Amino acid sequence: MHEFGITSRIVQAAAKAAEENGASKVLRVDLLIGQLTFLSIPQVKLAYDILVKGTPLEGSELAVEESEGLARCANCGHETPVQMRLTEDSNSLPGPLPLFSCPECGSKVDVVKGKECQITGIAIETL
Amino acid sequence: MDGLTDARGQTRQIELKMDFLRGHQELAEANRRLLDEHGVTMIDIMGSVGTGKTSLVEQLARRLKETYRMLVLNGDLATSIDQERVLRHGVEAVQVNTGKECHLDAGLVRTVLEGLDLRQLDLVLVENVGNLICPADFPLGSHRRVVVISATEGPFVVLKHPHVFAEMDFVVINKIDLAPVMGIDIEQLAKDLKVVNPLVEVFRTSCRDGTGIQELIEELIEKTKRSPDTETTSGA
Repeated sequence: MHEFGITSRIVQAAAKAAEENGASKVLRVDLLIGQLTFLSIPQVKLAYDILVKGTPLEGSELAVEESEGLARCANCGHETPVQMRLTEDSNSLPGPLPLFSCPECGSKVDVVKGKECQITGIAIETL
Repeated sequence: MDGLTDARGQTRQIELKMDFLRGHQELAEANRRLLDEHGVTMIDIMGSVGTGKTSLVEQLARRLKETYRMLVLNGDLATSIDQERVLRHGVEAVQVNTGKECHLDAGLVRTVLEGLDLRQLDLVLVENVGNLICPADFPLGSHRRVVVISATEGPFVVLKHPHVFAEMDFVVINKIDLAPVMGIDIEQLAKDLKVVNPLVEVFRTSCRDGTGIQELIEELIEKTKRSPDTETTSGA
């Protein structure tokens, strides 16, 4: 994924929200990242530390909460956590791979949770 | 925080809800509305470098130019080679060079759409930048999303890139004429596709000799023109 570009937009948006709320300093930015975005959280944090230098966000904490994937079957409505591995009867290649079909009926599933990439809040200091 | 914080001012917690991936989806939805208002159908064609995206677009252009008022949007890092290949079939083409950007996005496509007289168009084929990973995350607002893979990409291309295939409506397996010499089992690729996306429609083509193109046109172009509103899985 495009961690640097996305983090750049997160930093800009957090800075704007901080300014609109009269912040003199930003203490913390709260982020919710879904596992199915496949964003690498260490890479997001690294990009954040680079991007906030010289801004009111410098020295702030980036607090990341992860959400797990949840899928709902478009056919039978069955909800299932999105598993990060292949099913036993398919080719067993290494590495994480979500399951895209319903374990109940085999139809295609829609991802209803796990694709978030949200700022959920900021903690600021005002004069 | 330390005591200095208290001395300097108050701390406040502000609740927000801003999503940074959702933004692309909203831009894509706006593109779709613009296209629908003008009765224009748009198809997004993706795939690795060298799978035959431009060859497929040329096949479609040759066979569809008498039926539809069409335009091709060629995305590429550099050069107008693809645009020139389309233009020689007498079909209008716009080249978008992205520099080092590895995918088109809804904003780039919007800029192109706004420069066109959409009342004069029925069909837009978008040839995305050659890349099997990134374009999947950037829906453009197209009515259908297609990935072109080929017999020259090895036997594991589908299972190794599951995310892009899970988002697609159609997959074209191209260069089937080369499968025997490459030692590739086309039917195994088709089975792998059903593992990662049980609903995907799979077509087998050779853009060099035209095999399978007419069947693809019926399903991908004609059916989409008749009922464009079928939801794509993009951004699900």
